[in-house]
Amino acid sequence: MKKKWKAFIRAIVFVAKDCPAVWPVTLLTAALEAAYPYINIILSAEILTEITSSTRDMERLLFLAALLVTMEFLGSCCVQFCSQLLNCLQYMVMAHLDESVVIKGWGMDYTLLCDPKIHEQQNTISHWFFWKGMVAMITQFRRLIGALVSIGISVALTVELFAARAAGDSMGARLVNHWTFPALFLLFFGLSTAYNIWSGSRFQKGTYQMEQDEKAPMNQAEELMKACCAEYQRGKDVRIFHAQGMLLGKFQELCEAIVGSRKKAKVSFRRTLVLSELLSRIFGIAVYLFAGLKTLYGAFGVGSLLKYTGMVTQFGDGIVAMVQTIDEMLQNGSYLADYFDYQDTKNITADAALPVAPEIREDYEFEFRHVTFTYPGAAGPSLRDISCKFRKGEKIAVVGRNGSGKTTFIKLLCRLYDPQEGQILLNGVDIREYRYEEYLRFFSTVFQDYHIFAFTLGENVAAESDYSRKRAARALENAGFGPRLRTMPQGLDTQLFKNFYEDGVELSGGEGQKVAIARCLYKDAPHAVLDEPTAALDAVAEADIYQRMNQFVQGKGAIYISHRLSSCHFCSRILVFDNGTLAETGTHEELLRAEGLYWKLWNAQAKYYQEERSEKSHRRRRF
Amino acid sequence: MEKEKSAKNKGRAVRAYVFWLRTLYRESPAFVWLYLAEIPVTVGIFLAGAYLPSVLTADITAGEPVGRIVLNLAVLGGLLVFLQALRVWLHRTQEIRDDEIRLRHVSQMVKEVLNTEYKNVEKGDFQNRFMELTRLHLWNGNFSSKFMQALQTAGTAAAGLLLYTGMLSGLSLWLLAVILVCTAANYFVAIRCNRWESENRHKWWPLDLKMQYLSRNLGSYEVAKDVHLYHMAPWLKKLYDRTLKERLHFTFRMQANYYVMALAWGFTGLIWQGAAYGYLIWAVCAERILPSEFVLYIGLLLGFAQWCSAITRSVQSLHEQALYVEEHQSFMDKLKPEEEGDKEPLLLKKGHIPEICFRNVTFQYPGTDKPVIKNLNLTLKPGENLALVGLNGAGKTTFIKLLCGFYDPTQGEILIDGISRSRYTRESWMRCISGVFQDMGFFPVSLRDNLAPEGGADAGRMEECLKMADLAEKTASLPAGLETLFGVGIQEGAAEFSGGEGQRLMLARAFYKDAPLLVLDEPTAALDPLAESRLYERYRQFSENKTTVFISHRLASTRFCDRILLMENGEIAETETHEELMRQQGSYARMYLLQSKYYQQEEAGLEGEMSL
Repeated sequence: MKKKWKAFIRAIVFVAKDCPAVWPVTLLTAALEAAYPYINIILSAEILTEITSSTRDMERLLFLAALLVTMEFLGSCCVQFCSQLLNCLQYMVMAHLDESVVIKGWGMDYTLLCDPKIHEQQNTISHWFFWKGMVAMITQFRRLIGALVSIGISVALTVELFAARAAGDSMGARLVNHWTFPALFLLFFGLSTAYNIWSGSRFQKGTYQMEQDEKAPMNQAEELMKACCAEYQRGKDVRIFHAQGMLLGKFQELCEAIVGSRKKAKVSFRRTLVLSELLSRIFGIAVYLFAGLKTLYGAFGVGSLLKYTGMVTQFGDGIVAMVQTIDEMLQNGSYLADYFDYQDTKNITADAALPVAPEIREDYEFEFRHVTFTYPGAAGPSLRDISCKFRKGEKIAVVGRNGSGKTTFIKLLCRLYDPQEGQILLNGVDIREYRYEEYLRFFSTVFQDYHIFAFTLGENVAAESDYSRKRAARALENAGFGPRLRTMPQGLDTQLFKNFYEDGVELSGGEGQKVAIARCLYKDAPHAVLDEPTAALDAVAEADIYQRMNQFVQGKGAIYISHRLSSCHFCSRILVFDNGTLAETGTHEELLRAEGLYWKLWNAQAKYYQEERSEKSHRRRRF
Repeated sequence: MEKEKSAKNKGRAVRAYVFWLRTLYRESPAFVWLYLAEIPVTVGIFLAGAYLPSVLTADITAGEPVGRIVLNLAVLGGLLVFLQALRVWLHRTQEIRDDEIRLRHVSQMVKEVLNTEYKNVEKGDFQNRFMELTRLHLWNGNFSSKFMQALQTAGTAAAGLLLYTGMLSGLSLWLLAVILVCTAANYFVAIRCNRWESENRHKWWPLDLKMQYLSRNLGSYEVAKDVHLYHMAPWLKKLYDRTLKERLHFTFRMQANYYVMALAWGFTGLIWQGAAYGYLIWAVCAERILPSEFVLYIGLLLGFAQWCSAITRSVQSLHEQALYVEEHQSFMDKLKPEEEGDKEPLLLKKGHIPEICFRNVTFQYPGTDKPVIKNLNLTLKPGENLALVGLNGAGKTTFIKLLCGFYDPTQGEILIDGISRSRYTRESWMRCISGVFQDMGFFPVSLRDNLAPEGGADAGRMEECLKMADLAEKTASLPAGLETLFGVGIQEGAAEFSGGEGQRLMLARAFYKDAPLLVLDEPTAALDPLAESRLYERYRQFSENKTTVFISHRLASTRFCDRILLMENGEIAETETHEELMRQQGSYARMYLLQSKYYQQEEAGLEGEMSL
C-alpha cells in the first residue's frame, strides 16, 4: 500500500517535471468542463420561470436567451481549447513515457533484459500506455476534479430543493413538507448511489480478472499468428508438412478459450450494468416526481423544477464519478508501481568507475581466471573453470561442438553476463571495475544473430546518423559489399527494409552478414569478436572475407568462432571447448599432433576434402 | 474528370458497404439485428426524454390533479426507464457478440493465409499488411462493430430526422432551414479538416511506424547485444527525439484542426440556437404556443440539431469504414487459391519414386523484370542424390521453390513421370516432398505437433527419427518430453532450441515424413563438424529409396551425392560427378579448391595470397 502511494506521488512529480503545463491545464479543463452544463441548467430555468410568470417580459426573455447562447458559445470555446491542449500534452507525456521505457531498455544490462520478468514488465507497461499508468492518471485527475467541482456547485442547489417549503396547509403540502419525505428520498438516493459504486468496483475487478485470464491464451494466439502467418518464410513448412489443419485448429482452440472466458465475464457484467442503469434511471424519475410535487404545492416555480431535476442528476452523477474514479486510481497505482519498479531496476554494471586508459589500447592482455558461469535458471553451468590468456596481436579461434559454450565465452568477454566464479582480467584488473561503456568500446563484434536495422545503409554501418561517408563506403567495400553497393542508386542513403517506406531494399542473408561485418570494420575497435560471421556466405565470398578480415585485424586482437575449421588457419592459437570446459589449446599443428578433440573435429570435416589429396598430387605429378 | 472519379469512389464505397453487411449477416444474423434493434430504442429514448419535462410542466401549469400527474409521470418515465435499460442490455449483448465475430474474422484470415499458395504470401508488404489488418480487426480497430455502429448511427439519425421534421413542421420551416444550413456549414468545415488529414496522413504514418519500431523492435532483448556493443543508445535516442519532434508538429496541427471543427460547431450553434430561442420566445409571448410547448420544442430542436450532426458524422465514419472494408477485401482477394477443379490428385504407388524432369524452365518473380532461372533442363532420375551448389544469389533456393511447387515456371514445364505437373493438384504433389528449408520452420506448438502436424504420431518411428537427427537425448531430457512447447522468443514454459538444435529438429521432421523426394536447403549451416559429418555418414541410410536434392555452401557435401549441379546466374553451369568436374577444372573445381585448400595438410604452412 505504501509502495502504491509512493509510486503515486512519484508519478505526479514525474509528469510535472516532464511537462509542467499538464497539471494547471488539467485543473482548468476539469473545472471548466464541470461548470459548463450549469450555464444551460441555470439560464434555461430562468427563462422558463420568466415565461411562466404572470408578468412575462419579452425583452428580459430575449436578453436571457442571448446570454444563454453566447455563454454556451464562449464556454465551449474555452472548454474545447483546454481539452484539445490537454490532449496534446497527454500525447507528449505518452511519447516521453514510451521513450523512457525504451531508453531504460537500451541501457539495461543484458542479463536483466533476458529475464522473463523484465520482459513481462516491459510488455505490460507498453501495452497499457494509454489506458493505465501515467497518461490514464491525468485523465483520472481530470475526472475527479470535474466530479468535485460538479458536486460543489450542485450540493448548494440540492439543499435549496430540500429547504424550499410548500405553502398552504393542504394534505399534499403537509406531506411534502414532512421530514419523512426528504428522508425517504435521501435513503433512496443513498441506496442507488451505493449500488452504483458497488457495481462499478465489481466491474473494474471483473475486468481486471478477465484481462489476467485471457493474457496467456491471447499471447499464445498472437505468437502463433505471427509465426504461421506473418512470418511467411515458415509458409514453406506449413505446406510441405500439411500443417494447415493443425495450426488452424490450435488457433481456433485458443480463440474459443478467449471468447469463452470473455463471454462468462461479460454476461455477468451485463446483469450488473442493466440493474444499475435501471436503478439510477428510476431514481431520476423519482427526482422528477419529488420536485414536481413540490412545484405543485407551490414550493417553487415551474422554471426551478427543471433546474432542480438537472441539478440532482448532476449531483448523483458527480458522486458516482468521484467514487469510481478514486477506485480506478487505486487500481492504477499498481500499474504506476510496475513502471517505477522497471525504471528502478539497477544495472550491475553501473558500479564500475575505472576509466579505460588510452594506453591500454596499445598493449593489452585478457585473462580468464577459473571462470565458471551458469545461465540464470539453468540446471548446470555452461562454462566450468575456464582459464586462458590472450593479448594484442593474437588471433584466437574458438571451436567446439554445438552447445559447448563457445558463444557463452564471448558473451562473458563482452561482459553481457558476469561469471559467478572466477574473474576476467584486462591487464590484471577485473573487467567489472572498468566503466562499462568504455570497456565495450574495446570490441568490434559480429554476433551469430546480428541485427541490421531499418535505417539507411550508411547509418547501419556507422551506428550513427552523422558519419564519415568515406569510411563507411570503405568498410562496405572491405566487407565484400562493394558490388552490391554500386547497384544501389542511393548508395549509402539507401533505406533498408520496407518497414516504413515502400521503396526500402531487402537484404538476403549473405548480404546482411556482409553489412554486419562492415559495421564491425567501421567501428575499428582494438579487439574483434566474430561469431560465425560467414555461415550464410558461399565458398568464394567466405574465402574473400577471411582474407580481408585477416588484413584488417593485422596488429589487433581477434576471436573467431566458426564451424568451418579451415578458418583456424588464420589463427595463432585455437581454444577447443568441450561441454563447458576448455579441453585443449594450442596451434593448429600442435592440436593435430595431440590427436584430441580438435583432431577429431578437424578430420570429421577435412576427410571430405582430403581424399582429394592423393588425386591432386597424382595430378600434379602428371602435369 | 475529378467529379467522375469521386462518383466512382462513392459507388465503390457503397458496394464495399453492402458487401460487408451481407458478409456479417450471413455469418450471424443476430449480430446485425442486435445493432439494428437499437435504432428504434434510441429514437424512443430521445422522444420520451423530450416529452417528459414538457408533460410535467403542462400538467402542473394546467393544475391537473395529483393522481393524474403521478400517473402520467409513471407511464412516460416507466417507458423511458425501460428503453434505457433495454439499450444498455443491447449494448452489452453486442459487445459479447463482437468478441466472437472479430475472432472469427481473424480465424478466417489465418485460414486463408494458411491455405493459399505460398507465392501469395511471399511478398514484400504481405507481413505488414497482415499485421495491420489483424490489428484492425482485433485491437484498436474493432472494425466490424465500428462498422455496425456507423450504420446504426446513420439509421438512428435518419429515422430521428424524419420523425422530428414531421413533429416540428407545424412550427416554422425557416427554423429548420437555419439548422440545416448550419449543419451543412459544419459538414464542410469537417470535410476540409478531414481532407487535410487524409492528404497528410502518409506524412506521419512512417513517423509513427518509426517510433514504434524504435521502441518495440529495438527495445527487445534480441537486438540488445548489437545495441550495447555498438553503443547505439545515444544515437537511437536522437533518432527517437527527432522523429517525435516531427510527429508532434502534426499532432498539434491535427488538434488545431479539431479545435477549428469545434469552433465551427459552437458558432453555428450560437446562430441556430439564437434563432430558435428568439422565435420560440416570440411565439410564446404572442401566445401562439403554451409554455409547456416551449419546453417541448426546445427539446425537439436540440434533438433535431443532434440528428443533423449525427448524420454528417456517420457519413464520414461510414466512408472511413468502407476504406477498411476495401482493404480487407483486396487482401483476401489476393489470397484466393487457384481453381483446381479440373486437376487430379497425384497418386503414387507405395515405394514408387517418380522421375522429375525440368524442360526449358524459365522463371521470374512476379513484378520483377529479370529471370532468376533461365532455360533450365534437368532430369532427376528416381533415387538419385543431387548436390546443388553455387554462389549466393545463383538461384538455388528459387530452384527449390519451383521443384516443391511453391511457384510454377514462367515458361517451360516440369514433368512428373513424363506428365506435366500442372495436371495435378498442388496439395497432392507436396505430399511427395519432404524437406528442410533455410529459415526456422517450427511453430509455437508442442514438439509432437510440430513433428507430426497431421496427427496420428507413431511414437516408435518418431523416436527413431529423433535419434537419426541426434536429438533423442535432448528431447528425453525435457521434463514434458515431446509435449514441450517449442519456444519462440521469451515464453513461459517453452523450451528454447539453439540454431544447431533447431536444424536437427527440422531434420527429424523431414525424416519422419518419409516422402519419395527429400529437399535439403543448407541443413548443416549451424551444425558442428562432428554432427555434420555424422549426418553425411547417415546420408545413404536416410536417402535410401528417395530422390534427394542437397544444397550447401560446404562443398564436402558433394562427395556423397551422385551428381553435382553447379548453378551460375540462374543457369546450369556444370553438371557431372565430383571427379569429372574436378577434371574439367571449371568453376566448381576452383570453388572446391578454394574451400579445401586449408584442409590439405601438407599445405597448411603455405598460407599465401589466394588468386580468385
